[in-house]
Formats: sequence, structure tokens, C-alpha cells
Amino acid sequence: MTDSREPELHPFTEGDTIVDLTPPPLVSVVDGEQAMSGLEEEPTTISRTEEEVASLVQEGLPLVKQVARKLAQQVGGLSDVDELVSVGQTALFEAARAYDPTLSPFPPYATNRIRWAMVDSVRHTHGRASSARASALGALQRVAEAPLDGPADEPLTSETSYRTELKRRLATDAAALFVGLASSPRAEEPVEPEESAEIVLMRRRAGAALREAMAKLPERHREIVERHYFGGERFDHIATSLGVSKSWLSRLHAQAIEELGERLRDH
Amino acid sequence: MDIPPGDEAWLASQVDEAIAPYVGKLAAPDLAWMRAQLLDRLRTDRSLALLAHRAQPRAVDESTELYYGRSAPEDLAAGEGSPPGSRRPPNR
Repeated sequence: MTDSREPELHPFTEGDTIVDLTPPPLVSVVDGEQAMSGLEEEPTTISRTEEEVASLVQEGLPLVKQVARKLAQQVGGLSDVDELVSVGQTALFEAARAYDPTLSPFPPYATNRIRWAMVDSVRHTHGRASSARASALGALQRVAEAPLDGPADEPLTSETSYRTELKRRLATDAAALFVGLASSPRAEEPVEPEESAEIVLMRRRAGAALREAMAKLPERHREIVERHYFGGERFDHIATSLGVSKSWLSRLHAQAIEELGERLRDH
Repeated sequence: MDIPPGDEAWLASQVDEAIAPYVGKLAAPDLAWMRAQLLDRLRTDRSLALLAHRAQPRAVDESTELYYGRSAPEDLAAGEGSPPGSRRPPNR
């Protein structure tokens, strides 16, 4: 006689929460960025049994709450951390399926995927105040993940060279945060109750200053910033349409942000 | 290798320098938020923290006093110390 029961689910407990390890559909339920970090490509071609996936998920579960708490604290104004946890669990499943052990250990890889998914979720589903901060954190993360260009490729040998490189990296990180805050595509929406009118007004002005600085960028750099931050276009779509890899696009993006920072300093 | 904690005041000055171009372009709460994110990066991003550690100015003794080391044990036993600026006397 064949057993016609449904396949057994494998609930795991994490604290007081029962986590259902039923695999979600292969198609991402989170739009956009989660598959876009420099570490990973499109959903998996790695062959892995459900037991192996479950084992990786079990290993990664503590990361989900950790990342959710940190992001909620960074963005501020998020009352529902459980919602982020839910998004993170889906991303964890996808990470477990796509993970290639020859490239990196699982925890940093999974953390990256989880964080991208949560940032993307906040950007698209929360109010403008949280969305703008999530966008800024996304820009910062993308710059941080990009392959380094310029002086950092050379060996740093003195305190002075370390200091110069530190200033350069902090300046680029600050520019990334600014671009994320100033480019909110929802800048013209009415002020939300929890927002300060001053913040909204200043962000609109910042958006104008950013556009002015963008106009002086080389064409390709300007196009990347325009399409991603103002057009909301996915990074992988831009890479495809420009005929470059996502890794190369990340490098171009980081260059664009660094140049914007220089122009905004001179503004 | 654990990265030793940095001089907070010096790290904060580096962050303030990085966000200076945006003063007047963003409201104070946004600037404070940017500052907090960059400080957090300096504490949590390993490569940035290491870079910051190596970039920090080292404390240098700028006094004009010369150090000659402690007196030889036999001098101490005899109640003698090396006079300032002198070399240890040759073996007697």
C-alpha cells in the first residue's frame, strides 16, 4: 500500500517560534534586490536535497532575527520586526538553495541575502520615511560590496596612506547614504504624519542638488544612478541592458557614487 | 585577529569630516542618522575597522627627556644611579 499522506513538514523551533521549513516557491516573493548582491547570481542551479537545504536553513535561522533587529533599529519607525523576520526566512530558504560552498562560508553569504531581502522589502512596502532610509542603506551596502578601485588596489604602506584611504572610503559611504536619502522616487508625496516637514523639504532640495551633480557625471555613470535610484530599476536589469556583468556594474556604480561625492563636496 | 577599539574622538572626527559636505543639504535628523550609520560601519565592518585602526595617529612621546634605561643592579646596590645623560659605566 502506498502512503498517500502529505510529505511531512519539518518544523524547527527558534525561541518560542515554530519555523515551518516547507520550501517556498522558487520564484522570489520579494521583488528586486535580494538576488542582486555581489555574492550571488540568479536563483539556484546548485543541486541540493531537501535535507541539506533544511540543515543550512537551521544553521541560518539565528541570523534572520539578528539581521531583522539590526535593520529595524537602523531604519527606525518599524513596529513589526516579525514582518522582516518573515521576509528574511524566505530569503534564507533561497540562500540555502543557491549557496555554493566553494565561494564562501554559508553564514556571511546568507546574512547578505537576508539583509538585501529585508532592505528591499522596507523600500517597497513601508512609508516614505523608512523607505528612504532603507534605500540609503541599500546604496551603502552596494558600495561596500563593490570591488575596490584605485589606491586600495595598491599596497598601503604608511599611516598617511591608510588615512587617505579611510577618508576616501568614508566619503564614498557618506555619498551613498546621501544618494539613497535624496533620490526617493516618492519625494513629491504629501508629508506623512510621522515625518517632519523640514526633513521632507530638505530632502527635496537634496534631490535637486543631487540631480545637478549627476548632470556632470560621465554618461554611463549618470545613467546607472538615474535608472536605479530615480527610476527604481533593478540592478540586474540595468546590467543586462548595458551588456555588463553585475559585478562590473557594481564597480561602475561605486565609481559613480564616489564621483558624486566629489561633486557634491564642491557644490 | 581582533581589531583593538579605536580612539572614539578621532573616529568621530573622521565621520564628521565625511558628512560635512551634506550639512545644509539635509535636515539635522538625517545628518545625525548618517553619522550614526558611518560610526556603526567603522565598528562593525572588519576591513573598515582595520583600516581605521591603521590610520589612527600613534601616540608619540614628544618630551625632550632622554631615557637611558634603569641603572645597573650593582649601581643600585651601591646606592648609585646612572647620572642623567651618562652611559652605563664600564665593568669594574
